[in-house]
Amino acid sequence: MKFAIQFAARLIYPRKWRERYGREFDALIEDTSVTFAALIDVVSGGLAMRVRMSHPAVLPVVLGVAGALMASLAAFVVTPTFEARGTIEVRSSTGTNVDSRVPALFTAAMDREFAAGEVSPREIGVNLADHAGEVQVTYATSDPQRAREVVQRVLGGVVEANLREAEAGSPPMTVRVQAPVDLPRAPLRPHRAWLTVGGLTGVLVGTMAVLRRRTASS
Amino acid sequence: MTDPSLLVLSSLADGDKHGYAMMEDIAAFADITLGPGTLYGVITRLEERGWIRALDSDDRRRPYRLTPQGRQHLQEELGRLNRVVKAGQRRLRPA
Repeated sequence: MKFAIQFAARLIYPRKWRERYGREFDALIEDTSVTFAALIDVVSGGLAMRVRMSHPAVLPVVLGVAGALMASLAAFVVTPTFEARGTIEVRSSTGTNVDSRVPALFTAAMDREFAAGEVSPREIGVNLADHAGEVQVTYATSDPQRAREVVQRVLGGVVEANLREAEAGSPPMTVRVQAPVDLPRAPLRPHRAWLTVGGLTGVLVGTMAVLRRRTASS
Repeated sequence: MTDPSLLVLSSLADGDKHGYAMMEDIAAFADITLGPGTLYGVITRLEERGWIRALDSDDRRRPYRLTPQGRQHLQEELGRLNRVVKAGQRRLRPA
């Protein structure tokens, strides 16, 4: 452990500092009891000294690069997720409110379209759009082709479920798919802005550390 | 009083000491163990400010001495702390 502390001290402390204090610091380490806490203290002290003796611009640059690297790493580790979207219009032919019938229509469509466990209905987003009668369907997965296929199947299933209900005697509704579902090109996650945000956060933290250091030393 | 700078200045107030002697002294009078990295961070800072100075020594264990400016700073800081302690004690007393 003593060797580890001395090695850490030689490795981490700036050369200029070691030229001045190195001999007496080594003597102190030889005299003190060897503990893990002492190792941590020497490592953190060395890093603090390195920051303290560096040019003020070095810390923001180093932390900025570190932030960008961490954001890049996160972007590589996270599996890209693509989200397909489709919109369907559901209107009553008789002018009555159809909002109460829409959930049942989608449930019936998904139960019929997907075998148990193939796609969890909870993964499929069904949201009423701003315009009355419009329902937006979303599905996100790592395969963009599959994302589009699932949304298409849901929309097709809703159309068929509506036809079955009409045949069974329910009040008629007009169900229309507004536009073909596009193949998602850009991934939903990871977001490209992560890299920028990570780098900028690093620069910000570094700048604040420099300003704090200057305030403390003045 | 846990500010490492004040602990080191207080330790040197009654005579010159090298790093290890300061650590032992601070542990004895304040019951606080300063690590080597913390101690030498403080020594570096205090020497830069001119509050302590290193003495010539053939030994690797170099002693340090409190300068007049360091003594004045210590007196000011202790006076400030003393006022805080007195105010705290006065307010803790039952009405």
